[in-house]
Amino acid sequence: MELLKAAPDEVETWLVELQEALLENNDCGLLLEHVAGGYRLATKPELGDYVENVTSVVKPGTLSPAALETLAIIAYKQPITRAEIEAIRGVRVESALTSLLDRDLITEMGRKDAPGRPVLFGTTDTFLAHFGLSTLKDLPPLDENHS
Amino acid sequence: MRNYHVRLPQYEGPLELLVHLIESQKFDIWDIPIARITDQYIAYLAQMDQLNLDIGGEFIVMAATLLAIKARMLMPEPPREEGAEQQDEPADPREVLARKLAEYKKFRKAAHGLDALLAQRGIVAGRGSPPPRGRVRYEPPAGKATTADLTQAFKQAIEALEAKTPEIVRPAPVEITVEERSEQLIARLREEMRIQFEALFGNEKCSRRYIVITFLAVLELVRHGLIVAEQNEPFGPIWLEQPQGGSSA
Repeated sequence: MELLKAAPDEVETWLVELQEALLENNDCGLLLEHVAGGYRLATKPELGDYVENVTSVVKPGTLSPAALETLAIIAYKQPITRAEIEAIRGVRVESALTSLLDRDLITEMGRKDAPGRPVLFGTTDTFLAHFGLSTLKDLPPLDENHS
Repeated sequence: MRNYHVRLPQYEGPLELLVHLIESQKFDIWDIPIARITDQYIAYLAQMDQLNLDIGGEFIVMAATLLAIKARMLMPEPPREEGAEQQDEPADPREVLARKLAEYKKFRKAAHGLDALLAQRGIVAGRGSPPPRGRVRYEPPAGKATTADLTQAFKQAIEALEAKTPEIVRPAPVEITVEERSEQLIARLREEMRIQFEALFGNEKCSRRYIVITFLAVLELVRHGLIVAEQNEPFGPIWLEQPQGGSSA
């Protein structure tokens, strides 16, 4: 902003303009997306088949149900300890945590002030970017309906 | 004792199994027919046992919990004392379990929501996306493969194998150190004024190690300003000289 000598909302307007321009230009394989509290250039979904061949992007179906459930619990209840996740899922989650850590979807966020000082887990910016979210507030609301 | 992560054919954990039993029969989780569900649950475990599948400890714990709830449901409700202690225990022994099941279902639904989010988004890669993992798919050549193609493929496979076989490396005897070589170079420069860089390795007997040490010595000397390297034209010969000041201390 300082570099551009422009107000933040002015820059935001330009970014949105760029976003639209990229989207309309069919010769361009990139789009500008608003994720993890910022903007980034990314490949268009139409090119997914090609991109899939060369990257290891998390795509639907890549995460095991166990990993996905664990990720959901962390996303909505972070920061949370492993024991707390296990209490909800009713099974050990060690291997799910390892795979999520490997993919950089979650990270250790310090330790809980409780006996044993257990590690707390939370989601990363990579998580937001993967799911196309700008902030955690964009997560689909939890269904609190007890049925 | 070590905890083994047991994956049953269908249900990863006791909660998943219970939710399946309850939902498939359209029971209300807040009003589970505990005797029936307990029987079905235990029957499932028995089946697993018959198939010689390991049953995870969590499943056994849940079976015990179900039996405890069932037993408490059969007993007459203890007379309520007027103290506050009783308040902690819910009137319905099934309530703790029901709450657990509801919580589990909530996040199972959320997990589906996350997956749907990905499906809706499609494959989008940008900065911060994980890098390629070197996983390259084999694309069969269009048309029929010829004998030549197969020969070529075989050759490549063998070459790849050979490339993988580690070379046996034996520590080479120390011929000369970087310091010694540096001194030699300085001494030589005092006499010859100018040396062509390539001439330092002119000798055919130079070992790889000797060349590396010589090169390191040159780099060290240039860094300390004890010699100057010059190249007058692109790709031309590189000349090593004493610096103009002349002091080679």
